[in-house]
Amino acid sequence: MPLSRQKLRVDHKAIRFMVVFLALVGIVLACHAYRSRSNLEFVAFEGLKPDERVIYFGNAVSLQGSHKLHHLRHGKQYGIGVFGDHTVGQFSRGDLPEPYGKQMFNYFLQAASLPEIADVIRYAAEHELLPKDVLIIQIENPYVAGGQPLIAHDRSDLGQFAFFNWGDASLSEKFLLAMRWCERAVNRVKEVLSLQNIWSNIFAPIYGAVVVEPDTCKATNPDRFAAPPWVTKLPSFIEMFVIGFQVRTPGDKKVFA
Amino acid sequence: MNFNTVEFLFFFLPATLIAYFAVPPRWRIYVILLASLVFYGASGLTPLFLLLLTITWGYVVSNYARALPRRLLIALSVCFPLLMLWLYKYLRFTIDLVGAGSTTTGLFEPFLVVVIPAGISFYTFQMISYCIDVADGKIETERNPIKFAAFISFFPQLIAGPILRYDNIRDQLERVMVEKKVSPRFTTGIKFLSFGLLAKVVGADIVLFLLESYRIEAPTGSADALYSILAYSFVIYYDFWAYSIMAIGLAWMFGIELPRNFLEPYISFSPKEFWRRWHVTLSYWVRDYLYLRIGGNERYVVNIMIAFLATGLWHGAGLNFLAWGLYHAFLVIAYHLTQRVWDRLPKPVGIALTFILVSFGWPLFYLDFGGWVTLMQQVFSFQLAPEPIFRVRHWLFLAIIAAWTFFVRERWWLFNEKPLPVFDWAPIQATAMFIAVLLFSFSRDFIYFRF
Repeated sequence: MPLSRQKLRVDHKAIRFMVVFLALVGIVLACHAYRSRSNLEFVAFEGLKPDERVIYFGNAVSLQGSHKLHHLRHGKQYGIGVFGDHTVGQFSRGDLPEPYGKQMFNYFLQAASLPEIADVIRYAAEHELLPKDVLIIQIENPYVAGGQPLIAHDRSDLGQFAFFNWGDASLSEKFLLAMRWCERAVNRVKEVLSLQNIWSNIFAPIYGAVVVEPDTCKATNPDRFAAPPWVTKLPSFIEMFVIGFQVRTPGDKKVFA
Repeated sequence: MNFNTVEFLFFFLPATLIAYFAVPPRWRIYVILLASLVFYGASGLTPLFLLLLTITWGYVVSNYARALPRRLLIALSVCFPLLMLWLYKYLRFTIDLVGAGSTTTGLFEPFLVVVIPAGISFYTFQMISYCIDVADGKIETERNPIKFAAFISFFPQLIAGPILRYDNIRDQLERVMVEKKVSPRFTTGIKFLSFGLLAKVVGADIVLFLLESYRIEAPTGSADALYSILAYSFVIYYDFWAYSIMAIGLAWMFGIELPRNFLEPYISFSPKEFWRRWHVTLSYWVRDYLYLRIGGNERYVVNIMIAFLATGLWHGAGLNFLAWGLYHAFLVIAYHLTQRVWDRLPKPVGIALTFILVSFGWPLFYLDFGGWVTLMQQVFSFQLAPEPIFRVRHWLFLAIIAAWTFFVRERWWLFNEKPLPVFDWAPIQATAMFIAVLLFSFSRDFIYFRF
């Protein structure tokens, strides 16, 4: 008996539950979408000094990708461009002698594979956005996880490139691309629906960012990545909320748009 | 797949429910089976293949070997599931125990490289109970392979129980297949799922994060050691309790009632009572299919030892689990021998004593015997560290969880025997689930998955 003829009793309480739950989830997703769009210039990369780092809160891998991509599209066109994953993240302008340092920008993403870097470079080439003189491409050890991180196409969550090759793809490739897009969508929902992400990506700009001195940042940053403070400081996990209001960037306030 | 994931909550569950209520009645059982296989298959194809093999074996033997003598039928029907259980769960332990050489180890390499399939002990015991009940003539053989497979693999309880008996669920599955209108209890299901998720994250996962800052190799005093023991007691309880509650709630959404697995075990007055309240379906399984069959109370001490050693071994392949079983056998026997004195204790004292004794056994779940002894030495050294890891706020957090566990009766707020209306408000339930979802990034696998 199909649903329409089964005449299921309407469970008002269950419906009320669904409405409230979906409303809460919807608010978070909508706020995140708004925040991601409105805040692409949140980090003014050109204001960064060579020894400064931008640190992202929570699991905002995709946020980093969006910022870097936005900077590639709309920022200054550099002479030297570095592409790669987190291992090249420490390579900064200060590592090159002048005048080359000033001409360099590091487009690294926290997690990126070779095909994804290829996508970014191809996109930049097609739109005449490539660095003018030199491209430096680096990727991590291919033997990690059987080489999958090197060749898999879904590490950086750069949803912008999900359908990059759609036009040229065969039916089976289109299926794979669609599957990949679905996986990204699920991962994105998971990423957005996390308390860390909410505090860092939605409420921080509302309350204003707290700029932490470089020394403070250096002192707390390793702890934050290796073991978040709330791991050892619970049950006063209210601390998590307080920490969430902070967007930690070393250096001056110019890094904020 | 875990209940505490976005994939399950936002995609798998809604899709399964929609399919279940959209298809004609005779197809519902197919939806349940398919969903269960997808749910289990998400953890790997080898475990799925193993599950299907076990189901096929149970079905074929129970249907086509019924003419065999009873004992032979039982032996034949349980030998394959037990063999699989041994190969995938106890082989490494056996090899270590007998000190087998590299040639023997190499021979079994294909089994050793596979991670223990999730819930293998649960569905193996379910299969064994079915086979024994069929051989004993307590239940009719199930001729419908789909219905039989759905019974073994029903996804809400597949990975961590409750361990079902076929006569508990046979009529319910039949009803689902023939009745035009099933009677899902969404309200109850949602309530159990919401508070189960919240309890898992707050009562188990966050406390576990806390616990990990304590290292037995670097002792920091008796108070910290004691905190780690008491906290793990609540971690394991809320981890397993939450799963069981969610399993019951999810099954209700499909119009199926599952038995309770926990009856507020931490308010037990004695170790014996504890085992009537903790993991009830396993306790009764061991009682019915082992303890009573080896003579029951006739040889009380010996049979209790055997039953608890088997219970310990069921939980894990390791000497620590055997020691844990032995520890509980000792507690139950000690209670048996001192019952007259024990029963005269004031009720709060009996409850506290039982809780403390049970709690002191849990570290054997994650420590070897030597480590457990070291931990006990740390507790009873009565040395206070100048800089303890766990401060007043941590003890306060634990005290809140303890107060909830000991003083807020589950039968009031969850099962509505004496309703506390606030827990039935849809916005409260929705908020509970929402908070749990936001804390999913702290989530761990359920501890009992590995059993």
